[in-house]
Amino acid sequence: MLTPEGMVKIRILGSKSQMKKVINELYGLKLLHLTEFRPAENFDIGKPFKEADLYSKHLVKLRSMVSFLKIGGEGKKIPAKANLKKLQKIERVFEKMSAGLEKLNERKAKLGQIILNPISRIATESDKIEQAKSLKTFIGVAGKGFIDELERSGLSYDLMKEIVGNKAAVILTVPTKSAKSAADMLVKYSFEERHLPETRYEEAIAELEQVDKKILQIKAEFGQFRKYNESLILNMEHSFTELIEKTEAPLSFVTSKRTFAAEGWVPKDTYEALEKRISNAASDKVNIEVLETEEAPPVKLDNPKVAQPFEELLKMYSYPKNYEFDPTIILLFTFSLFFGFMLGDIGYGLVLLSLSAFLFFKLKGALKSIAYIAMFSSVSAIIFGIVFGEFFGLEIIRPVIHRAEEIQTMIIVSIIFGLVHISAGLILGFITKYKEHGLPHAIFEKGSWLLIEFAAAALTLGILMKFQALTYSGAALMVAGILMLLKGEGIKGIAELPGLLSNILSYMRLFAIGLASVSLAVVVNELGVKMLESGGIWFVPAIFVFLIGHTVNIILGISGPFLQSLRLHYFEFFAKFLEGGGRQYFPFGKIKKWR
Amino acid sequence: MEVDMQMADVNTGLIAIGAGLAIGLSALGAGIAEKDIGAAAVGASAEKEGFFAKGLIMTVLPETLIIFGLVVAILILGLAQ
Repeated sequence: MLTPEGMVKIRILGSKSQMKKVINELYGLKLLHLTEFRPAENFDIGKPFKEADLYSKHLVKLRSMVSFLKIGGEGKKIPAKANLKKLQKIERVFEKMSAGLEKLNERKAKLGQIILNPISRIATESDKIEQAKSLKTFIGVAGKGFIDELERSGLSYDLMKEIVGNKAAVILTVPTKSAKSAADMLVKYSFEERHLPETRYEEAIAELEQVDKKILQIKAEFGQFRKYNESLILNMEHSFTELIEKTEAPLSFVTSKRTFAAEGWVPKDTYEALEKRISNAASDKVNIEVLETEEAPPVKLDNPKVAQPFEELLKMYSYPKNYEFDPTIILLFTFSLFFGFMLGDIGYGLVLLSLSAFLFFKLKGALKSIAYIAMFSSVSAIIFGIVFGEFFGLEIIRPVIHRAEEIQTMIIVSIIFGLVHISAGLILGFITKYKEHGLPHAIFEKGSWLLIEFAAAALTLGILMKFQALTYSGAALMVAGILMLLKGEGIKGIAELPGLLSNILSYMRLFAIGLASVSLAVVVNELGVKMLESGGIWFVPAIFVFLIGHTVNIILGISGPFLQSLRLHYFEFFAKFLEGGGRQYFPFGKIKKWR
Repeated sequence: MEVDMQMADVNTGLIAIGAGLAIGLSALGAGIAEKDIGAAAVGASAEKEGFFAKGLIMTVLPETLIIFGLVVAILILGLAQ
């Protein structure tokens, strides 16, 4: 529970004739984390089965359909082979429709260009523009003032024009000899050259309407197509993914002429069952052996169901290494404890509880886990709300601790939380170091910190209670602890000494965030109540003040404690014992997400 | 909270200013620190979506400064009583 599951590395060696059966069985078992096999003498990297090409071709098409049609959810399982004919038919229909849509979209873009080209209002490609050596033609758009200037210039010219806004679309023909002066004039009015469009403006508009209609039609067809084939496409996508995983599995195997071999990790307690199943499937023509290895196994977190969603918080930090602690189960308690202590309001807790319960049933994947964590934390917030006697900032029951007034108590409670939390982290660190490098390392690197922490507590108590024996022994322990730290971590450790103090003081956020939250709630309530007391029309803004004020405070009251609680775990707690960087256990047969 | 005007002498005022400075300046410091981290975190999560949660956590790291400021403010206010 507190550590990742134990793993053993195995090697499967067998007759090539049994490879397919073994792969099928492994896929069904979903237990073996395949590792790449380094090819040795007479052995080569395996080749995918020959069907892989065909399958991946279909899979690409299926996935493009899923993406394009925005199909979601899971369908019922339909075996893929039986429907290969049907699939080909669907693919043909889809491709035809897609091609049609693409053509229409292209045409639409083209028509858009024509409409945006002002020349389309005066001429098209089919209009013959006079071409001669002695003439020069300019086609394009220039500032409106150009036309007046042209008239005044006294040049001989032939002009077709259309004013569009403050620009003029012009087709200007001048004798070659005056081409230069005409060009200069055009440049002055920021002339831009344009092509002769394919059709006239009015025609383009009319055609665009037709094209739009056709696009709508084809989209409706896609809708029908989706309705009829949705579950089939999803199932086929699923089945083909599975088939491809299976046909490509030999890529992580090695094969010789007649044999194949595969290596991978399985959870220790499933090994026997796996061996039996594989041997049975391959009619005993395989040999499975456990390998002795120094390699780090992949990490499979092993937590009870109630705690599993909290793994998501751990994954955001890092996967633990195989010998490190998996703090998920501790997170379950401390994360929600800290969160509740900071939020600590019955009303806010109830709002969060209903919200997260709703989201828990709506969402999927990682977000569902976050909703679960929020549900857990909101219960803790309600409990602390009873302790602090708060309901939307109002005091409705006699509080055990009045957190806005009894600041001293709150600070002390926060610091105690911090001391316990950090000590727990150091103890876990001590055990990790012991497992990794042995007892001396553990004592000097982590035990020294524990000793310093303990000494500091003794020293403080000794001074406060004027109990000299305690003060002196505290000081002596402190010196011993610092010397041990110097040996364990060198000068770097000494430099980090003040960090211990700031780490513990950091837990004061537990009360500080709560204080901010309750102060804001009180302000909102006072403002609203004052408005209510004024009576009459003030009733309306009072409602708004309550609504907006508490909504803002709930948002702050959820995000703040969530982030701060997480931060306390990541930087103050995990840093003491968790290095992270483990490889996630991903057994063959588990489907990877592709979108 | 009713303020008793007769009680509020200059010393109390100075103490209040001190407390205000303690929390105000530390908040300013945290803000300056978070500005850079936040910008970098947004940039990083634009590159890689998975970084969002980590970036958020890193962005709130300097908030410890305000906590210290608050504690100092509370200690200073203690002088007034």
